[in-house]
Amino acid sequence: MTTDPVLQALFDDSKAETIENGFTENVMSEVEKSRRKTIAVWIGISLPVLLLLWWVTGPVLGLLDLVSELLPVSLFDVGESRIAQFLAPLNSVAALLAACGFVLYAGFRKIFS
Amino acid sequence: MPNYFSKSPEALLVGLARKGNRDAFAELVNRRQIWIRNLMRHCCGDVTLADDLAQQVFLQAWRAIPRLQKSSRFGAWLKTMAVNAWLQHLRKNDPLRHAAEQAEARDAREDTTGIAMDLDEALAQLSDDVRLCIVLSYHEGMTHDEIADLSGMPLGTVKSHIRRGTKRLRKQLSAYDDTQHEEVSQ
Repeated sequence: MTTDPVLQALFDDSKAETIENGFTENVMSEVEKSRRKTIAVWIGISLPVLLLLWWVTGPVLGLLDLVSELLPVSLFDVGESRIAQFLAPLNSVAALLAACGFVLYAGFRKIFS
Repeated sequence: MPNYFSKSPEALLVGLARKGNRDAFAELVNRRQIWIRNLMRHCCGDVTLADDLAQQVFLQAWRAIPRLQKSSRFGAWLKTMAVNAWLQHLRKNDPLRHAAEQAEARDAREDTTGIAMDLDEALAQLSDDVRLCIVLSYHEGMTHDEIADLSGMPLGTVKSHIRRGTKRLRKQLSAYDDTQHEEVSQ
């Protein structure tokens, strides 16, 4: 690669002419502004999210209580015998939901694969 | 401005800046600002626009510095960022409006004199691509291959841009020929 020595000397001489004039201070003040903006955006996003969580926590916990009470309910009355206890995991709403889920999953795979 | 980092090696400053130390970053800006502002000024020929773009480059650098892998690559990384900022500015702005801005800037320019002003005026006569190749070659001392890699232009185009640009600049700056020849030969 060859460069023109006269032009090279002109470029080298022109480098020294730029003056500082508070450039660094301006950049750092922009950096600070950008940091504050980021914090404000985070607060702006996280506050509504926290409020939403606080608002939905009650109903969600109530629903979870209801579900946990409903899942072990027996589907058929088979008394209190040992066989009934043995069959309890299968004779429950949870087992019915699991079976439905499995059938839906198998059907979904059959249709789309 | 902090002065306790003034004698620290750049790699240390980059390492600290990557961890979010603003004083270390301020020292990096202080050390590199003249170089980046000169590069931008030669690219755009407008001192105010050059400073705005240089400021954007440093702001972008502050946001991206945690992702910089090697501290020793800081200079090259910053240069790539500066060239990309300039190319992005060219893509965003209408060339006619850009030319009008340059003409206004030339009229309003007060803080550059002599060689820098003449050089900027001569550079402003070149097309954007030719000017970028010339600036990267003469201001940055980059090879043709490096310029082609950085700018995304084919190598042959870079070579012809530099050849043509050099010829035009020599013609426009012919007044400096005699004095510079004497200095160069000494």
